[in-house]
Amino acid sequence: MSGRSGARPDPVDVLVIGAGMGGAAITKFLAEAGISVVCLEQGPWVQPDQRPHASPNYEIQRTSGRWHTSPNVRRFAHDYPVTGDSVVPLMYNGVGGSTIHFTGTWPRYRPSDFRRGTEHGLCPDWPITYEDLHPFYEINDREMGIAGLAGDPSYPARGARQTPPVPPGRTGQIAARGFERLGWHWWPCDMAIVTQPYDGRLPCNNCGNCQSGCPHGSIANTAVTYWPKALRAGADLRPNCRVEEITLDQEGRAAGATYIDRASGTRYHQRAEIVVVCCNGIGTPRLLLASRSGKYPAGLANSSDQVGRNLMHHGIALVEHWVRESLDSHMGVMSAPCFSMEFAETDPARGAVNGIALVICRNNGAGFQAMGSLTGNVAPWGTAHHRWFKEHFDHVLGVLVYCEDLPASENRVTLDPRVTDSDGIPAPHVEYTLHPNDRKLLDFGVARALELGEAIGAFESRVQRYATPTRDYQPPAWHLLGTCRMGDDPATSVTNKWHQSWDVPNLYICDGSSVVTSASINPTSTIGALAVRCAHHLRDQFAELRHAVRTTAD
Amino acid sequence: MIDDTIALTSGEANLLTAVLDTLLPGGEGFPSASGAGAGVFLLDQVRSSAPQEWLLPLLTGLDDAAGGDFTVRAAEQRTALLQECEVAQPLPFARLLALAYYSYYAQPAVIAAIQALGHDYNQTPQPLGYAMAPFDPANPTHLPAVPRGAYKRTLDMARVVMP
Repeated sequence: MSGRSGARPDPVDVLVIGAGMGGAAITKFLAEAGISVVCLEQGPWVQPDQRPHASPNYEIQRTSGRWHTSPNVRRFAHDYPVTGDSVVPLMYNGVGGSTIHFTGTWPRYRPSDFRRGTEHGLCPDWPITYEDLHPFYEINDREMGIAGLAGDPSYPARGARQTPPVPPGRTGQIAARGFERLGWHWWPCDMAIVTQPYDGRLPCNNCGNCQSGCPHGSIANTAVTYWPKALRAGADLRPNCRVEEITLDQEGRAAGATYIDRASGTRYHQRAEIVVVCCNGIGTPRLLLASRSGKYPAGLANSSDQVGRNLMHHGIALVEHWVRESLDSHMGVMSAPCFSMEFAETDPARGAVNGIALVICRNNGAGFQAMGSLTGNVAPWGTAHHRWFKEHFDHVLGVLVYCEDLPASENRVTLDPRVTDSDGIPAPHVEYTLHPNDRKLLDFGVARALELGEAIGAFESRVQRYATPTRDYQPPAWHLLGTCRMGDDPATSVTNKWHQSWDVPNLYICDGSSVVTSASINPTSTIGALAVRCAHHLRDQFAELRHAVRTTAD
Repeated sequence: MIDDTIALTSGEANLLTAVLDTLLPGGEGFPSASGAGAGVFLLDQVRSSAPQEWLLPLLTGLDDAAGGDFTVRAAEQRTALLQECEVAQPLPFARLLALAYYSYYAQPAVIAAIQALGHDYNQTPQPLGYAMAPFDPANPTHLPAVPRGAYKRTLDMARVVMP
């Protein structure tokens, strides 16, 4: 690789790589403690007026343009391609990471999610419990600003949310009617979207275009939650700076990272006493695998050959119901006015382990609804079009079926030997197939979602199973999980329970790659809680950890 | 009508208008695609996507199939020709259809037609957003009157026996 080399920046205490959920939280808490922190982010700041919400072509931008969720479609220079046809990955490179365009759906994992190894043995237990993580969920919720309501009996008791739940609207109310008829659990879904002014942020105005993020600042993108505080505390955030390699010193400890300032093309080396990688479940293994050396020829922190393995995305299906009542399909939060955890625990009678969640969702604008919404129910063209539109527009309700997917060793991220990003760094290659257990579980979930359609009197229902002509399952990989999991055993994990890598004691990994199981629910609240916990550990033990020469399970 | 500043010949522009109006004719209170101005909008969206590589061949292929007079064929004949095209060239046809729908439903005249049906609907999500009734804990469709649900505690986790 070529390019000019710049002057060596001053060394810092901690180098954080990636400015998304994990990197933002860790940077903020460390900077507030007086620890010098540099954060390198390969993408830019995203300004509110760059979002498509006030453009008449906002649906085109979201479905095929610069606001598509996949870097393979956007193809920005600050993106990196993801090869393989297993999945359609969702990610964003920029200050805020993928919280730049996440829907803010914010349920927590539950106690059993941390003990699936005990329960069925098809995956390990986490090295921590729900109870260990609970206080950090609470801290992270306060930082992010959560809409929701205490009292959900499907979860352990917890503190008050920061703002009231999102408006359920007619979509939420119709779904609730169905859940009641079936006698199933339902509750207003926790959302990282503020419904009242909070921490200098505006409340949601129900615009409905959450999948392109939020120009209003209501969705808890870390660019509007953690980063302003981190910068005020003195953190040094360097956007448009792409890390190409984590470097080692003579003792085999992390020395820092080589990065390219994409604005100038200049290459720098940032030294640090501790390096924390927070690049998500695809970007983190990519960087570690690309950081090969004589000491670590298979990639950094990869002596166990676990880096990149155990990739999880959730088993996902989407069921849509059209009802006679006019709903509010194009307004209010995309996901989720309410949800059901009725089937979230393992029931052996299903013939599969783990559980599912049913998450109610909405459907964007008129063009998208005419184009078949999320299940390919495309309006006929020609003379029948308008009658179809009048019967279907604003009458659709979605049920997202999330099933926990097992961590399979062969589901993994590797480096593509041919494809690179715009700076010549190898692209990640993803291989992912759904485990037979998870397929059975997903079928069970689809059947329950169809049952809900009957309960609400749907006149038409469609199922999106994400099959393509070339693959029987090519999911939208909204959640990138498990590829550098934590654990108690260095042979089957990449880090210990404090996110400290087994191989390199001053290298930490904290993002979606850290999770051991996927649960049956959106992961960002858990990733944030893990990051807060990691930050508190680093902060409180920094004097010792900066000199650590070995990693232990404790 | 199609704006002639776009790099189409007048014949190509007329052809696109005829295709769009066959896909989305007026009716049921809605304007036709050309009446709403969807063609200009559509062409603006495809400027950077090499339309000469897919859109123009699709249009000229249709016209060739019609013997060079697609635009003056009766609506039923245009429909039949498009149905044949949909089968013969599914990918470019689907691309055109998506652009046609997204362009059509972005037009103010179409937004007005949707609003005339009684829907609270804006051309763009922002800046107005939508007014929605806030969450009301006393409303049993907002919150269960009798909450149900359960979870397994950490200490209760034990090996399950699969059948």
